[in-house]
Amino acid sequence: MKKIDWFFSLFLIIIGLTCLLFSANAFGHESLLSFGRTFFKACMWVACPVILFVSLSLWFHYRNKR
Amino acid sequence: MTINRIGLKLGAAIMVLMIMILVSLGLAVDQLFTSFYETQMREDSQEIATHFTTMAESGDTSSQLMIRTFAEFSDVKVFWVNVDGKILTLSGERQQNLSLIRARETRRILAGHPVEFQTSDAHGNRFYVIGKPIKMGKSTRPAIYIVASMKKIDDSLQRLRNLLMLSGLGAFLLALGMILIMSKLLSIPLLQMQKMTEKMAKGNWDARLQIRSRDEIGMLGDSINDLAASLQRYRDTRRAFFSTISHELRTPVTYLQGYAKVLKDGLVDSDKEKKQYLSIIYQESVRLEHLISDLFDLSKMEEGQLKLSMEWLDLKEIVQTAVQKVKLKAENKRLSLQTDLHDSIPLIRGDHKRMEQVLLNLLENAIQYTEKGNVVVQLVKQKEATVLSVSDTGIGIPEDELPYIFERFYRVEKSRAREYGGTGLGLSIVKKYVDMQGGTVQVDSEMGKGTTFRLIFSHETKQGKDGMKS
Repeated sequence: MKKIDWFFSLFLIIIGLTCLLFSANAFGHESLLSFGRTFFKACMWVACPVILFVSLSLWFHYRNKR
Repeated sequence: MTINRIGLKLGAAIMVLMIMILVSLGLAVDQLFTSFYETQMREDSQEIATHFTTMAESGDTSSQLMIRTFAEFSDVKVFWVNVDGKILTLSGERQQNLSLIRARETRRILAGHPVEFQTSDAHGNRFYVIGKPIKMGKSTRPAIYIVASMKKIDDSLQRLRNLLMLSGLGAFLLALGMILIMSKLLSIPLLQMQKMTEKMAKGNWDARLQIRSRDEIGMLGDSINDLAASLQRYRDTRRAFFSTISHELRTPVTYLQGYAKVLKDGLVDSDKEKKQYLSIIYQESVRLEHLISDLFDLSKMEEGQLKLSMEWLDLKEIVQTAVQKVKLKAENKRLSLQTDLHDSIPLIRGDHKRMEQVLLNLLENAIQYTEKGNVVVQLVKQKEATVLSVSDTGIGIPEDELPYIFERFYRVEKSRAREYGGTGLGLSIVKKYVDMQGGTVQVDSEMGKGTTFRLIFSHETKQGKDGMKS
């Protein structure tokens, strides 16, 4: 994949996430701080399985190499 | 950004699925919230109507005032219906829009049945209306209407729908970004394969695919690599074959041309010299004939056009015939040609002519590469096979060259002068003929001590008493 492909895909993902989080947060709490808090929470929820998956992949990769 | 067709198809298919799921989910969520709000509204309005009815039934003079005050707090409008069916506003209130009350429902309420319905005014504002009869004996105010505006609910629902649309758009964009990555990653190996096969079609068979996955795509990549390797090997073999064949044909033709020209121009000094040149011309023409004949046989074998005439063969008889044919050659080189044939040799299935040619090739090779000593032909019956071996005490074959001696034009003697002659096709023909007749060829050799070729023919299961030859 070229850099432009990665850039375009990541751009769409970030825009999509922002729309989702904004709509999740907008009903009644329209402050930027509240939005930022929800965004951070969502990022953490996404980051946890990603970190777990990467750690497991690396562990399997190095175990097979040995 | 390049969009390849397989990626586009894959992405479009997933996106269509995604849109269908999002639309279905959106409609379901919208319906869920609408139902929730409306139920809530109905329950609240019912509760208020029950309270107001209770207050009205008490018959207290202050009840009308209390109802008006509560109505203001609860943001609802209250109407009285008298026994004549006339709708009245509470005392002290200004004239309200009475078009929301339907005559049909009023008749029903006067009959003593509670009613509830949704209606809307000329501006499209929705209202929830509940009517309850009041049990006061002989009262002049037999019913009460509660009209609750649904504007707040409609505003909330509209806001919720907008946010749902935004969520749907977000989910769509998120999915689109992920699908772009996924379809690209999935289609990369397929595109690599397509480029690779294009290269192969243009004759570039050196290229190889680098696919690490072990799934079906990985296996397909391995198959394409194997195909490229096979084609490359075929091309190399064909090149080598044409190069060798042109050399092998040119050598005797050059001899023939040279010596024929010498004779034609009368450049010979004596009859002895003339005889010698004629002898060379004869030998080269014989070699050329052998070469062409061998090539013809090999090409027929490789094309599968060579048909064997299979019959029950007596190997002893074939050995004796072949030995008789090469006896003179062996005697000329002062070699001892010996045979050791066991008595009870079973008949084997094979082609008489081809089997004899196999044996002649082996014997001629043995005599050709042996300067002193002997050549022994042995025919032995073992437990499960008949073994025919040809051993010599010749120059032998280096161990590292043994795997290649059955290849076409492979010669242990690499010198262009070729002391021993031969076409380099003899052993290749032996191997192919023996394979075609269901046998195997083995070879043992030691440099300077000699070589033994063994032809092994397994005994067929359909071997009756008649098949035995004593």
